[in-house]
Amino acid sequence: MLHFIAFEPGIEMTRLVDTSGMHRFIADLPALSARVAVLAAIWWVLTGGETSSWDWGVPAVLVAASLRPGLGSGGAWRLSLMGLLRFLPAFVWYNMRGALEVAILALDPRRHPDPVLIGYPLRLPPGPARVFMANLINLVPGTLSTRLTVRGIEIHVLTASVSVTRTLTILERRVADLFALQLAPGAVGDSQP
Amino acid sequence: MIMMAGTVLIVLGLLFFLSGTVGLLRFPDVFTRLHALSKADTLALGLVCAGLALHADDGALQLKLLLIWLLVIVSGATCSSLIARAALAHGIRPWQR
Repeated sequence: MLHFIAFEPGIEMTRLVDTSGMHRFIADLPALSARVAVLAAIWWVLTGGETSSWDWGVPAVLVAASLRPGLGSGGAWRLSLMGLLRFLPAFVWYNMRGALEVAILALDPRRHPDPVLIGYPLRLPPGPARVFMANLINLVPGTLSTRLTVRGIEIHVLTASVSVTRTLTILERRVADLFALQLAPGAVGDSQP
Repeated sequence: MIMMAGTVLIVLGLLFFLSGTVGLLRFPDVFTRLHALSKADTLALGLVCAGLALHADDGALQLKLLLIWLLVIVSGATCSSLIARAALAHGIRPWQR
């Protein structure tokens, strides 16, 4: 809705007509069917194919499918298979390290958290990849995303003395690979692997 | 042998659940507690699911375990950010030493 061009009423009218009522429903039908199929498959796996579970399953699938698809309202997105293959080992490695660090901090009575809020300028383009990155930040060592801002992301860091920038730069690159996107040129970590 | 490996993974997972819970009790504010839960519990559940998958003799059940893990990762990560954002919006400032 934000993309309407206010000083060109012709375009605005066309878009309004295109996205209204029946038209929109019909245009959305293939995507809607795909969502119903995927969600029904998930339900089927989770319930082990139990017939009586569909009493709840059918309404749940239909309601979920009618909502806008995941990763915010940022429009279309696609994933790259090569990007996924590069992303998964990095994710598993950082998640293990993150869990281990927080476990040691929790269990060792001599250690204490020393948190700080920092801003991290994102180089990913606005949209689904940023939302994905914000979620990912919660699963890697020492970082918790608190707010997406216009320029980047606000992050709660568990131990102020440990630099998280390098990890975030590498992860951002992996997320860009995953979504088949280019990173904007920026000050941090252009030469990172 | 595979059963043994599965059991080791499950026990490791339980240790991470335990450490996440100790963090939840010991850490000083909502933000630091979210760190403990989001990271330790994700890995803990991954290890428990992997261990159970090794014990399972049925592909459908293994797929179900994988799916459970993925869904909990997504909801856990999203909820952590939502709780943190809500806390800031309600004027809760992060604890500092």
